[in-house]
Amino acid sequence: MGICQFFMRGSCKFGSSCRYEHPGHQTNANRQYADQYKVDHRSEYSTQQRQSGNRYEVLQGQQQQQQQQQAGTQHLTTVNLTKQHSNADIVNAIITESRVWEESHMWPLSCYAYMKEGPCLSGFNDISPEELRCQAYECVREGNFAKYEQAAAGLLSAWCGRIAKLRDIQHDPDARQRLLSEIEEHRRAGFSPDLLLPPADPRATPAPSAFTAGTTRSLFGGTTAFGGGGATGGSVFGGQANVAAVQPAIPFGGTVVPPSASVFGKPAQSLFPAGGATAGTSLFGQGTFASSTATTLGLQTSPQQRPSLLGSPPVAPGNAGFGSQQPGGVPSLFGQATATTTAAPFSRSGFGAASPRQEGAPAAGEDSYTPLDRLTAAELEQYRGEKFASGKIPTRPPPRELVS
Amino acid sequence: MSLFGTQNSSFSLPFGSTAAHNPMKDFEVQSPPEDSVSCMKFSPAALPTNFLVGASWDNTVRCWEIQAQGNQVHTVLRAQQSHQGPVLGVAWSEDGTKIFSASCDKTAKMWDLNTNQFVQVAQHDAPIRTIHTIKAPNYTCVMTGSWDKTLKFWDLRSANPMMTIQLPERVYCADVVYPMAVVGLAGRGIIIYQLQNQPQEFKKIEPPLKYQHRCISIFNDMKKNEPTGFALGSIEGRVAIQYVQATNPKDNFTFKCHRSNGTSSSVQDIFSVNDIAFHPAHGTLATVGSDGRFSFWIKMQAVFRL
Repeated sequence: MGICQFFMRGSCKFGSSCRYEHPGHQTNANRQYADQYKVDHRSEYSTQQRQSGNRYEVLQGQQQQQQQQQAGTQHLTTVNLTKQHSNADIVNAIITESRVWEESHMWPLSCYAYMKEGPCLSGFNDISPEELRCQAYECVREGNFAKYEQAAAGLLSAWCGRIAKLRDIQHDPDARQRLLSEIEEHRRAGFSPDLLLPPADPRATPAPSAFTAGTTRSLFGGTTAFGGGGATGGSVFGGQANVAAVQPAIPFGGTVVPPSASVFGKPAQSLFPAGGATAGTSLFGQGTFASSTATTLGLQTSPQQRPSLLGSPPVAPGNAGFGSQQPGGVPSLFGQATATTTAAPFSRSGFGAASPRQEGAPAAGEDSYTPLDRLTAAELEQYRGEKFASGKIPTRPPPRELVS
Repeated sequence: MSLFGTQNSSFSLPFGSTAAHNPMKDFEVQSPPEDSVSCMKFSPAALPTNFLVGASWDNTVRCWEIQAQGNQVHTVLRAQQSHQGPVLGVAWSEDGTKIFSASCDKTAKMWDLNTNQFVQVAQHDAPIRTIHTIKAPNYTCVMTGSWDKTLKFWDLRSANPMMTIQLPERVYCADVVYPMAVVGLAGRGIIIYQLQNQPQEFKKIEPPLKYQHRCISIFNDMKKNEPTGFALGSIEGRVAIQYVQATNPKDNFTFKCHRSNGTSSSVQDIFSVNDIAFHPAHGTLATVGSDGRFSFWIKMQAVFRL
């Protein structure tokens, strides 16, 4: 059956009753599949291309269609989800994509988002092949390759287990419900990729997000000691007790990674931090103070950092030369003078022997203030008051802003 | 069970191909490294002869001289240096006299080719994944991206970084074409930095791909010869072309590559795109994938396979 040229140009008036083939759309082969899952087999081209009337579109479509025919995956095309799709559509698309993920031998240890420019699904963190290989080489060097094998096997089965769980989610109403509610949360946040809110210090009120360690929010979570967040996730991947509170609840009850397999649990050295929420800082901050903190040099918020790298006095003024971006400050367009930082043109001796920050460089190069957004209300109140009330003395340093 | 090599697991990854060795009759470099090559760079135009530097998982950084005679290419291993751990990235200085290498031993070193000295210039808390040199009108430095979630800029005179940028996630890939730098992070993050005067975050890009980022490469606007966008490859056999300031939303698109031809009843194999390189003058790009293939493409408003 020939290809419909009108469809290729994005304007076939017969639609599914057209007698020519609409590639990527339902064909006999996939109609049954589609009916079962109600997946919208819109084409895999990005939607912009189809609407554009781009004169290259025809050629491009043909090329893609050729690839597709060669590939023979018309029954498992991935869907281009947009905000207009319903939650049920999204779940169906996720099921399809999980199958593709499994059967195509893609790298399993990856994060996953169901929508371009959208947020990642909880429970999937990135581990790159290089990180894994580095660990393998380390273990070889230590003469303990079995340790690596065991840990890698654990990671692999955990990830594959999760993918399989997604694939079979129709049969697991509990998991399906959790998935739906997570998608709903994403939707309420506008499917913004920025769903990782500022690091929730265990004492601070955790900001509600799909990634906080509420077991109720966890996509995969049980409330077993295992599923307790990521504490185990933390120990397998990082061993940082104080970031356990912000772990996405990665493991789900019954995975095979035994708690003793915390082979990579060397603090400050772990190659397997438990994913984005460890840092907790927003990936795509909307110019809030928190996000500028993330890129502000010097304010070492992650417990894994050693302050010494930035502490020495000769460096501090240099660092101070281009201090934190102001809240809400988005740098201006390329090439134009920036309005945000204090950047004086650099002297020939290199970066920043330049003007000190307007807020005053921290004394002796110490970057030990607590950022404002991390303090609890009670602590802030104490700092603002005339003197500390006994019993309520904050145990963390004051924010730079309140230090005169 | 090991991911690399023998396959005893139920989840088998198709590493390596069973095709004949060197089917394209390419020229093989003499005295190659003894383990996988992680990164390679040709010497800059400033040098009269062509050198190739290669970083490898056998802890070495090797430099070959390339001589083309007629239609034969000869390579001679000129020198090599070693790190304490696998080397993940290399970069040339602009004048071609120094090579910088970044390693899993958490250090980056500078190799001065004239004196054959190999000194440490950078330090991180975790393996350094990317290294690039930046030459701006008012400063010169080396940029290192690491799995410790920081991006550091090093003026070679000091043991401390000139600048450290905290990132929300680990650095997986980066590229620099002055005045733009782009960094791809774990968790699908992408951040663009503007390098004039001092490195500064310019924009965060919403990720156009749905899976782990693997490689990133900046391309120039053909007419103005300045960086205007980048190509991003993921593990899903897909590359996204993204403009920093798209004049038209349809300018940004993705295309699939490095996928095998599946049969009609099974899913095709999807390989990750491991690197992307743009031709310096024409609008063509090359991609390489875990399927053991390299492809050339033309980038116009879509991408066509050459």
